[in-house]
Amino acid sequence: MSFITLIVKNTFRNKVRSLLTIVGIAIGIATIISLGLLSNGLTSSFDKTIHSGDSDFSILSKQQNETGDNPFGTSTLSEDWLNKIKGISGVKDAKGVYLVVLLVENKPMSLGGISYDDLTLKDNTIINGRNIANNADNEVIIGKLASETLNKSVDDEINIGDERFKVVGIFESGNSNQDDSIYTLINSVWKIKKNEGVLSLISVYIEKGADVKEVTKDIENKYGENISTITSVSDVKRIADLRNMITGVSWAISLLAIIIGGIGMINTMIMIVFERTREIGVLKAVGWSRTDILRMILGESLVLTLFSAIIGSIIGVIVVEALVSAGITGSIFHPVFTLETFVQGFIAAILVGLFGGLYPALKASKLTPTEALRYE
Amino acid sequence: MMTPIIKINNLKKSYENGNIKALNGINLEIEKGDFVSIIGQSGSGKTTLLNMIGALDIADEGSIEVSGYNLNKMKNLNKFRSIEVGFIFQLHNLIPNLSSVENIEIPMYIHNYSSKERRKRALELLDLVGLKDKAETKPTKLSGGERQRVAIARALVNKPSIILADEPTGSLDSKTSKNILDLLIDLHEKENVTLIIVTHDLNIAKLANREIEVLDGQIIDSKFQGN
Ligand SMILES: Nc1ncnc2c1ncn2[C@@H]1O[C@H](COP(=O)(O)OP(=O)(O)OP(=O)(O)O)[C@@H](O)[C@H]1O
Ligand SMILES: [Mg+2]
Repeated sequence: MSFITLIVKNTFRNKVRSLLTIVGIAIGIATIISLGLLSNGLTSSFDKTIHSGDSDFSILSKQQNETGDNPFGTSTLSEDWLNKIKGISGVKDAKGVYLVVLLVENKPMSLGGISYDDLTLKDNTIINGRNIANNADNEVIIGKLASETLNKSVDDEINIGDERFKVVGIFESGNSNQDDSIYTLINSVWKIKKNEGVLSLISVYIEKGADVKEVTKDIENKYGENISTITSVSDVKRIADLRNMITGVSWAISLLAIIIGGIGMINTMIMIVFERTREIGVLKAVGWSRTDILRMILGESLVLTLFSAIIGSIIGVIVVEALVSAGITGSIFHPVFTLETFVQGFIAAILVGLFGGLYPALKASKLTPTEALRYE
Repeated sequence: MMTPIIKINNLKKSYENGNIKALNGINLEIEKGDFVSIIGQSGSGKTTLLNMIGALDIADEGSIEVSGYNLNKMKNLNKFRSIEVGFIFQLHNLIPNLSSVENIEIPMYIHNYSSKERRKRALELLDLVGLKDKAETKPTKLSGGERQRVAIARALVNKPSIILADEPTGSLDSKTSKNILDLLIDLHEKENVTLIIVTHDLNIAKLANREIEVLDGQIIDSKFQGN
């Protein structure tokens, strides 16, 4: 029997207690994992929005209006910025995008208003029906996920704001954020929002051979007072703030989960050491050193937490999937499964094991053999 | 003249801030390969003396040397215990969720054996105590005598030079007691290990080459007896 086998056997000596301890810690780990998955999803949703239409970079207004109903706020740009940007050398094209989140058939949906040229980029993602025809401002295409959420398919009608639209196509891009959105011509969104000529952002395409850095620098130099260029999500202050907040809250909750798990762990391990006092005396009598005892008890608490991490990961994934399929997470949260999140969960579990096991293990290792053996 | 394996000089040990004088000046020499019994009233200090010899506790005063190790000065007492002594207690103190053979492996973890070697050696010992067919049985499914046999195997597994048995038959019926004693004596003779048994049973005490009586933490009688 290897030392590891011995530790695992010891861990499951009292099966009910071990199981309860594992479940308790697993819930903490599940919390950490599901928060991680959701906040990952938030970040990557933003990232993909910014790079929608495969543009090289985007332009946002610097005037922030905090009462926004979309993740970029209502920081808006007027349409005449398009021509100014097109005038910069190295810029091939600039397209206005108007993104809003609004209730469609009572569900929060993101609606993207884009130009006809940008729409054609979606041609090859259409899996059902067709793309919007040029100037057809009563037509929309909806992503596959959105069509499921709304229970709409090709030729159905949907109400957005006070306007009625016809679904002409369903698309699937593979990007869950886009696939949970509705796209239409930018004019239609202006009509719905009664906000003619307004842009959320401008996607900029640069000439072949031009350098993104150079072009953005030129734009910042010329118009830096009013607009900012963003090449990645971390450039957007509002999003960065939101993301920091979510990350902060996740960390706080995770820390709490670790502390609660750790206390449960201390409790269980103290009980174990207490019950096995005599046995620890015997181990010392047959020659085990303090370190040997410490290793065994710490090992047992690590085994408990590793099982917790595995079960917690599974619960975490199930919870996230359940939240998503129940539609509670809204249209901007889409879980993104990264190894990192699970690694974090396992690190948290190991911390709980070490933190919770150390004190009882030290206590056990310091028992004097004679007293441990006299223990009834 | 043989050299003593145990040399104890004016050994004192007290508990509860000196209020309980468990050992009060013990002087004792025991020859290598001897079989010694220790008798005395309850609370006279027998277990304490045995624990001192096995380095489970440290003396307050006096000197104690076992197998050439000065136990007053030694740092790694656990090392000494793992090489030189094997303990057998009144209660078998086996680990309940481990099989017989796994229990016997326990003292070997601190040495550099492979898993396989550990298992092999543990099975040899199990054979030696006549329990080869109970290797996979857990202590709860063993009789009292069988448990004590497993405990004896566990005490012998690291090839100690001294066996310290504290009332090893204290909770067994007389027939089983006799079997266990026969086994211990047999092992003592075959392996030439020094055997020290604490007992309340004068009939058992008589089996030893030497009988020591303890009272109030002192040796009041020590007689060699032929057998
Ligand atoms: N760890 C300890 N803490 C406090 N007192 C102790 C401790 N160990 C032993 N004693 C006391 O020391 C005295 C001698 O104890 P010891 O266990 O050596 O007696 P014993 O001869 O083995 O008795 P018994 O035959 O009942 O086993 C007793 O009064 C006992 O209460
Ligand atoms: Mg005693």
